[in-house]
Amino acid sequence: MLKRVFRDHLHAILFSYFWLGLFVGGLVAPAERVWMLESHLVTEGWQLTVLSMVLVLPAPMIYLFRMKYSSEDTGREEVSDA
Amino acid sequence: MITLFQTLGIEPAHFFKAAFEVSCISFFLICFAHSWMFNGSHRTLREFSAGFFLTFACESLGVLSGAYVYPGFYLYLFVVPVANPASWVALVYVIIGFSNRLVYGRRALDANFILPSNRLLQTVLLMAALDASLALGIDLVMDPLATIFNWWIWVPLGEGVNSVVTGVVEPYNFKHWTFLTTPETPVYQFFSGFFVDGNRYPSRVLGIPLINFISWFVFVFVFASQCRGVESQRHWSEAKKTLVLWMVVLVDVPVLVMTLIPPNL
Repeated sequence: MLKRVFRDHLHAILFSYFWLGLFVGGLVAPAERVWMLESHLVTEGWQLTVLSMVLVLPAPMIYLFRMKYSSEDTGREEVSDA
Repeated sequence: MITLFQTLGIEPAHFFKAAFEVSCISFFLICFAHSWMFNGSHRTLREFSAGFFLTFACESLGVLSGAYVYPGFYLYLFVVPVANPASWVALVYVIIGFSNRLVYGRRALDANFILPSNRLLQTVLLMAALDASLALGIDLVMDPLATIFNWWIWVPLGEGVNSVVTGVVEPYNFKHWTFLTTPETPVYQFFSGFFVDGNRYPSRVLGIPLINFISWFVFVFVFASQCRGVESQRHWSEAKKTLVLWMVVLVDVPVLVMTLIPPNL
């Protein structure tokens, strides 16, 4: 089971881990260091956290959806009776 | 959260710098092992060595241009931390596999999965564009964090400043100092005409030079398309695939560097 997860989903796990790093990094960013960016858009660390949720997090979400609803043999979407 | 770190006696900046280097190298080792186990030794050595060389060479020239420095790491290859090219090639490996699964679903879980042969060039370019877009999404957040946590530093504008100088760049968590200047060459003379006021990288996004994000996208797009193109050749031998990938990477380095990494003057 673990080997299968490692083999099949490592890319997604590591991609999500990357996002987690960005998410936490924004939360713990010291304010005085954020000001060094001299950006009008990002003035506090948590804004980078939000940005990571907008720019990076959707991809793992779509991945979960794809893995749940695609067929292994043909790749065609499975059609629900409902 | 910062208070929590300080209560534990850990300085967040130092913790994140060390954690960043350890994570990058671990990331590389995990991806290399994964590729070796499921893609075989030939493909793994081919892709990881070519990608490592490409980004190492370009990053070295980026540092030599005076644009940025990598202070405070422990393992260096010349002026570039090993963690940097190692994690870049690992990230490209992750993104290629990830986008295969996003587009082709469970079919891409097969270790022998290759792109459909009909309209191969179009497919390769579209998939590489998706790879580069995913990488760009990460970089748009990662690069501001890199400046915040001193993972790497864009050398600021200042008269005669082509290196890290105390007071100009705060030695926040420096362990190693890198001193490199732009060589006085015809290239230097050529570009100096465009920067008469010495204005360095005036176009910025989130406080980071725009050229950084353009370069990141182009680098991932170019390498991913070449990897995908080579690996999609069903009838090529392993030796031929390796030779072709390495040949194009050797061409990539001067072309990409001359296009995307102008010297800082």
